[in-house]
Amino acid sequence: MSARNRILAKLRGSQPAQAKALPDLAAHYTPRARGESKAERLARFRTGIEGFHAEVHLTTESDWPALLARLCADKQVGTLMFGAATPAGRRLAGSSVPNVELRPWAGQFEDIKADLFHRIDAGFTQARGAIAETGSLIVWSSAAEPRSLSLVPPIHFALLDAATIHPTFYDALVSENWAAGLPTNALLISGPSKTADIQQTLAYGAHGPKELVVLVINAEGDAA
Amino acid sequence: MSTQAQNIAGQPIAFVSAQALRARMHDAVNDAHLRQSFRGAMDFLMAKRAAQFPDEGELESLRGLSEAIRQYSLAKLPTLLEQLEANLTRNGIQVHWAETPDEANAIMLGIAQRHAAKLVVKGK
Repeated sequence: MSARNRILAKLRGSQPAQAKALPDLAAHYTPRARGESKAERLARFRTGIEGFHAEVHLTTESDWPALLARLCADKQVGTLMFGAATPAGRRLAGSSVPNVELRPWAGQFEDIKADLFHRIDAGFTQARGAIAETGSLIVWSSAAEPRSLSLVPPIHFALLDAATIHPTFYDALVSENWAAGLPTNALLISGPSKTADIQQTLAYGAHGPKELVVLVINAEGDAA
Repeated sequence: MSTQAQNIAGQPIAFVSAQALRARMHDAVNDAHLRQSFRGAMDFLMAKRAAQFPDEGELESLRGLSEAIRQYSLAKLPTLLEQLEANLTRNGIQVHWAETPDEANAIMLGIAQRHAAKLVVKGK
């Protein structure tokens, strides 16, 4: 008998005779639903993530590349790395970002590792969505936008569509049907990297970006 | 008070007798500086966690729900483990089963040796 079969047999031997009822998550969350507008969800997301020292800038579908260019100038970003194979990446590649070297992610990690760690000032990725309750971005890494792009450079610019902000993580899991399939890394990012491990002194950029800058696309005419 | 043995990787492990352990525990519990450090760290962490749940009713409801999920999952553990293994395998992840820490260590050491690994990084 293999270790696997022995482990499973031991567990089956100590299982309760009666199965437990499936916990009713909807019974907890449904009465708590706020029925808030898109603008209210955005405001709650913004308060939450700004509370953890992220920057949030409102923009529109047509204006975000120009906003990104201004933010890069303000933060003296010399080199910005991005995933060129996404809709936002294609848009960025065709945009004017003065005085910034735009580096598309290309090739294998090993090929660009040295540049990524030592020469890239900022990474740009799209966010899949966000969570209003906790002020968190939902980022799914992919071959087009690998995890290193949002983790390694000192500044992470994230592009978020306000229409994809969910009230709670539960709402995101259910409405997007995460059970149907997940990427290698599904991330919830609620601010720049920080730690207070040493003498309870808060330090930023310990295991990831020092700055998190969120560009929120809010359709023209929508109140924010 | 300690004797030397070797673990599966051939490194020495120190065993401490029950008597020596009690003496060490007595010293540690009566170390004023250590107690103060622990108190400070625990108060800091507990206050930070409490600040995330300002509504006590909400916290209790979430705790109840979490406990129900835990009990449900424990009652179905063998089935869930088989489902996990099937899904991990489908995602290209290789699954090993070990009944004891020694078995788990032997598996990891075997893999490292097969790949002639010189340096291994451990996450905390």
